[in-house]
Amino acid sequence: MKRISFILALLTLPVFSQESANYQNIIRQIQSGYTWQTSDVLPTGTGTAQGALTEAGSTFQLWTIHKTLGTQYLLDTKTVGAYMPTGDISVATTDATGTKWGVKRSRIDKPFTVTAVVSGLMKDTSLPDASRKVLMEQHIALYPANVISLAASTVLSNTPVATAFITAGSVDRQATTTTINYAQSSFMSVNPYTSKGEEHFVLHALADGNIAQTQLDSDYVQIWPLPVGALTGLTAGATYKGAMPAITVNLTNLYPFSTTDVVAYPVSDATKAVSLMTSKYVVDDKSSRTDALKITGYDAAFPTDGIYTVEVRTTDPFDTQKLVTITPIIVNRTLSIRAMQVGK
Amino acid sequence: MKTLLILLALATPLMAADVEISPEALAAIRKASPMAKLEQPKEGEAKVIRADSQSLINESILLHDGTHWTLVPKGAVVHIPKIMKDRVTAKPVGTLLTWTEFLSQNQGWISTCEVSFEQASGKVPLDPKKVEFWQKQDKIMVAVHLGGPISVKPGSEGTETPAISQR
Repeated sequence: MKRISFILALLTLPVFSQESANYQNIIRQIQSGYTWQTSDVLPTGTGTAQGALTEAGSTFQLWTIHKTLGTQYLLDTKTVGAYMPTGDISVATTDATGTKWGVKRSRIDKPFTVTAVVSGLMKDTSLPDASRKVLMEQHIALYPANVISLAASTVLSNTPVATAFITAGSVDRQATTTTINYAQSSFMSVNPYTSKGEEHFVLHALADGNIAQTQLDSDYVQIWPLPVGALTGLTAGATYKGAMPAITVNLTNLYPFSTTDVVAYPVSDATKAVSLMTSKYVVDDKSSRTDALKITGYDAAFPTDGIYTVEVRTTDPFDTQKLVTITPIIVNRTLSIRAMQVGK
Repeated sequence: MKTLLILLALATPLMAADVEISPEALAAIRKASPMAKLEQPKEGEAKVIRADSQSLINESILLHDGTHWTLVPKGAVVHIPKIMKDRVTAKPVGTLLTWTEFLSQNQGWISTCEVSFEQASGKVPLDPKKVEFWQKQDKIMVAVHLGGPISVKPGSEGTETPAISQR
């Protein structure tokens, strides 16, 4: 047995919500022979584990528990040992807007990257697998209706959709970084317009005679589907002579951070687009949004007679998409008076 | 960030992922996964033990004073006098206090005994005189290390007696 002290980064827990006042954080150090409870875990901080680390490793569990209801959540688990590999895994997306909600998120058709940094592995193929490789898993789960978050244990209890080993680099025990680029979410194979869910990535140390198989680290990304739009009230090819009719725009699964507009422009010049709405429809939320907009009194968007295009556009952190295009819309308000002049 | 995420999860009913993905879609996902380019486990090599349901409460002894409660690891309570049996509860009673707060407010019926990691794990036996002393107390005795409650492996007393004694 080797006595090692290490910084328990697990304790770094910024807490911003009032809700946290109803919960108590508890850390348990579990290893062969005993379970030790660290008293009075503050929301933020670091500490040094006092226990001796054995070859079998120590597992640190961070729990939060409701002070009156007793509802309990296992927030994080780390296992460390004198002779165990260590691993960190993280998901990176090109959308930083989820930070506000404490999540990493992406649109279903957009790329993201998974990076695993593993240290402590050996190259010698005669050594047991546990000292030469760690197991990486990908788990996915769709959100049921009206759900925007899943317990990690729920997602990870499913069979992984992909697994792989990460092995030692060129030098024993040195950190090796494995980067996996996903061109799009796995949910694209399910339904790009309806699939909402989570993709979890996990690193496991393998079991051998001394150590139990254990989770080294995990991270996940929320996936939101492609938005869909529909506009009723205007018909392509129709001629509008009087006041423009009321229209309804049905918007489905707008990205959680997005701005949507309905515009009209002369077919020959898209740069002259004018909004049909008094203000754009803005979403800044923790989940995608579905809504219906009724728009009236937008005649000013068609200032002169002519042929127009009407579009529904949504812009999110990735790009601008045209959800609806209706063209041509023919506007002809000029009155032609047919009269006959009668002579003297 | 992780805590925000958790708090978000706490505000949302944690529901099972009951939306199934068709076998055809799963096959397509597996085929397209970039992880397939890494070394693939052979049959039986990727077995992972998954804890179906871990419970802090199930792994704890809950103590209460009628208004507040606290929890310590199973095995940390090394002596419960019969007159104090009602102080042990299966469910939360009142409001949770940290171990330190709870101990501070209930010193009249709880006392602690400091043990080392080696003693807790059973590698070094507990001092029989100390054990004898605990077992004569009218207070609930909780094993601690550096102030934190710690489980004591049964048999650490150096005799056949269980870690928890009653009198």
